[in-house]
Parts: sequence; structure tokens; C-alpha cells
Amino acid sequence: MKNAIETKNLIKKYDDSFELGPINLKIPQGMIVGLIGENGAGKTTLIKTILSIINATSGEVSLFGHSSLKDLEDIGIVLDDAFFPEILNPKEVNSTMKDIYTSWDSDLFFKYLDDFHIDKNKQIRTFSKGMRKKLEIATALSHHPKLLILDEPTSGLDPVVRDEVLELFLNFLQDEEHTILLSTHITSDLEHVADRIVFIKNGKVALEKDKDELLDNYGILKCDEEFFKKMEPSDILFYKKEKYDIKVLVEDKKRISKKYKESIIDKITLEDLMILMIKGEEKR
Amino acid sequence: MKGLIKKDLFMLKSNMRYIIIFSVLYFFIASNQADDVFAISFILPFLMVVMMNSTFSYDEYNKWFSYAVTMPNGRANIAKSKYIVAILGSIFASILSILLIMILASFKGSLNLDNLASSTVSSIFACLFMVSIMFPFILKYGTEKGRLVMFVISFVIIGGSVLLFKMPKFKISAGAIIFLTKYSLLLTVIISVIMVGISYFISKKIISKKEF
Repeated sequence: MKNAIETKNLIKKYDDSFELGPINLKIPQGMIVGLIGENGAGKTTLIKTILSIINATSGEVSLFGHSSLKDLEDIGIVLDDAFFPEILNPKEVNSTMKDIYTSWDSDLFFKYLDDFHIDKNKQIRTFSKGMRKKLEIATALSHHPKLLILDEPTSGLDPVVRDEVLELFLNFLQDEEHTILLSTHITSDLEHVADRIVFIKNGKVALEKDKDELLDNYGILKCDEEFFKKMEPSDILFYKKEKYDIKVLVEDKKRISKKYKESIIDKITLEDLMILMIKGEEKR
Repeated sequence: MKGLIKKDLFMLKSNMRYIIIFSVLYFFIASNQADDVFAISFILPFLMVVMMNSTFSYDEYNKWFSYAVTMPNGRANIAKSKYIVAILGSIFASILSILLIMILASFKGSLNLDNLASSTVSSIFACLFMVSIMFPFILKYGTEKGRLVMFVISFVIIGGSVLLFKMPKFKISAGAIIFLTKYSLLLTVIISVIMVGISYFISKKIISKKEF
């Protein structure tokens, strides 16, 4: 099966010294890949470069094996802050989109609007942030894409709607040829749906792992200064000194637990992982 | 492309009621001031250009272009759709203007309709001139800077032309005047097509490389 998204040595340089890359990503079809990282890490830059909204400085991007943008019909997009002008209403969005995408499904679009309780005759500017996001998601899904590229798609949604939307994404993945690249700060969403996690830090891929492997194998070892000094540096990925203890990110918690019998190793969440990898120190 | 044209038409429709109210008011105020249709016939097409400008403002505010370039043939169709809407809008506004003038003429017997055709063509030409200058600058520099540059360029061209005609050494021969008068409509159309064509070509190039 070909990769839905592939980047080879992708670099984007900005004048003010921020540089994304080189990024080498292979996202196979049939996966949900979660993109995490702090603000300004380069997640949106990566997405925009993949979609040619901005131009890469060097490197290659291919979508469905093509290096040029041939398959835009098959890509559904939700961007963080870009959509139709807000003086339009959903009916006008539908009317526009059906003449842009050959596979646009008006019935499906209006069904999503009903499910999301969106008034099709009201201007977008009257919608709350959450309702706008729901409209953007409905629009992305309504031309039967094979690939969804989503930048903060659940931002502003209440937990109930977020759950509904995540279910939609999981249903979307029932087709093995469908793929999702999802960038979000809501790491709990990724724990719910993602197959793989890509962590972007300072424009580089700091970590790329299957989610289950990550959550099953990685752990947080809590210890005091004395214990910490006894640990071998190779066992420490990142560490952070807290008020009363030191939190250590370890990669293979079963092995570490056997090696340091008196240690306490907690299960990790993606949020814990992000905080330790961003705020912590790397090894000793 | 049809979809992008529809999107801009929907946007123009949203603003239409304010423009209609304003233009009807201005129309009747202006018509009391003058019997010559020349000044009146420019108002609606000019307002159409202003409205086209406002579509760019909304597009920019909502970062529409970032979204549009991810659509099939997005980059190729953005410029094309804007120009088509501008041309259709100018023609529609001029036709509406003619209708309003005819209505006005039926109430106001003193209205001179001799120059109606040439006024209408001139107003369409003026709109297309403004659009041709404005669009590439807006697409390149954004609505704020683009509008400023457009005013400067238009001022320079119009001011420069007026100065040129006033210069004692600048004379147009009688033959040239006759030729220009005889073929004014055809020349206006040809110059409009060339002008809009060059502008569209530049805009297309700008969009193809622009980062959003």
C-alpha cells in the first residue's frame, strides 16, 4: 500500500532564523497520525508545506505517491484559522463547494449540519468558535476524501461534541485506504484515536512512535536526588526537577523496573511526555 | 472556477442592500445637480469596484486564500474568478445604470441622453482600468497596501495624462482625432481587453508563487 503522505528532507526556512526540518515522514494509508508539539514548534508550518500553502525551501513532498498536487479532490482539510469568508452561510458554502469538488455530496453535508445543529441560513460570523469548527469539519468530510489533514480540528468544541467528532474520524478510518494527519494540543484526543504520534520540537521530529508502544513502554520514574544520581545516563531520556522529587522519562519501563527494583514508574500520558520533553533536560 | 465565482457573487450579494440604498440616494441627488448623464453613469460601476475591493478584505480577514489554494485548481482559479466577477460586475452595474438613467429621463425631460452610450462604455473602461491596476497590487501586497498603491498609480496616470494634454507642445493631429472618435468604441474594447489581459497574467503569476 502506498504512503498517503511522504516527505523527504523537507526543509522550510524563515528569515527570522526559524527552520523546520529536515523532516522525513512516511504516513501509510489507513492510519491516524497525531502531530503534537508546543506553540511555534512547526506543526502548522509542516502542514502548510505539505499542502503547498507555503513553499518548501528544499526537499520533497508526495501525496499518494505523486509529487505534484494532483489529488486535491481526495484531500479534506481543516486549517486552524482559515475558511470561507464569514459573511457567507452554510447554504452558500454548499453551493460553492459543489462546483469545486466533483465528489461533493450535498445530502451528506446537510446531514452533518443537522447532526451538528448548524443553521444553514445563518452567516458564519454569527457562529461560536465551536460551531465554526463543526462546519469546517463537515465541509472537509463532505466530498468523500481519502486523506484528512486537520490542524486543531477539535479546538473550541465541548467534550460531548469532541467525542462525536472523534467517532466520525474513527468511522472515516473504517476504509483502509483512508488516512488522517491530525495536529492538536488536545493530547487526550490522540490517546483516544491515533495510531502513531509525531512530536515536533523546535522544527525537528523529536519522537515518532506508534501510540500504543509509546504509552505501554514509556513511563515516568519518580525519585529523589540520591536515586537519580545512581541511575545510568543511558536509562534517562529526559528529566525534570520538581519541588519534592525528580521526574524521569524512561523508554522501557519493564526493563527499568527490573533494574531499579525500588523504583516507582507511573503510566505516561501524551501530555506528560510533551511537558517532560519540552520543559525537561535531555539526559545527564 | 464556477464555485469561486459563486462565492464572490454571494459576498457581493451580502453587501448589495447597502450599496443599492446608497447608490439610489446618490443617483437622485446627483441627477438634481446635473443634466449630463456622464457623471451619473459612473457611480454604480465605481461602487461595484469598491465592492470588489471589499471581497478582498473579507478574503484576507478570513485567510480564505490559504484555504482556497488547497482546493482542486485553487491557485489557477483564484485570479481567474476575481477578474470574471469584476468584468461581469462592471457590465451589470452599467446596465443597471442605463436603466436608472432611462427612468430618470422619463421624469426629467431635460436629461441629455446623447452621450449615454459613450458614457457607459467609458465607465466600464474606467472600472476595468481600476481593476487592472488594483488586483495585482492587492494580491501581491494585501488590501491595505494594494489600495494605497492603486491610488498613487491612478493619480500619477490620470494626473500625468492631464498635464500631457495641457502641454503646449503636445498636439494631436486632426486626422488622429477623427480616427479616435470614429473608432472610440472599438479602441476602448481592444485597450480594455489588452489591459485586463496583462493584469490577469501578472496576477496569475503572483498567485502561483505566493505563500499564504
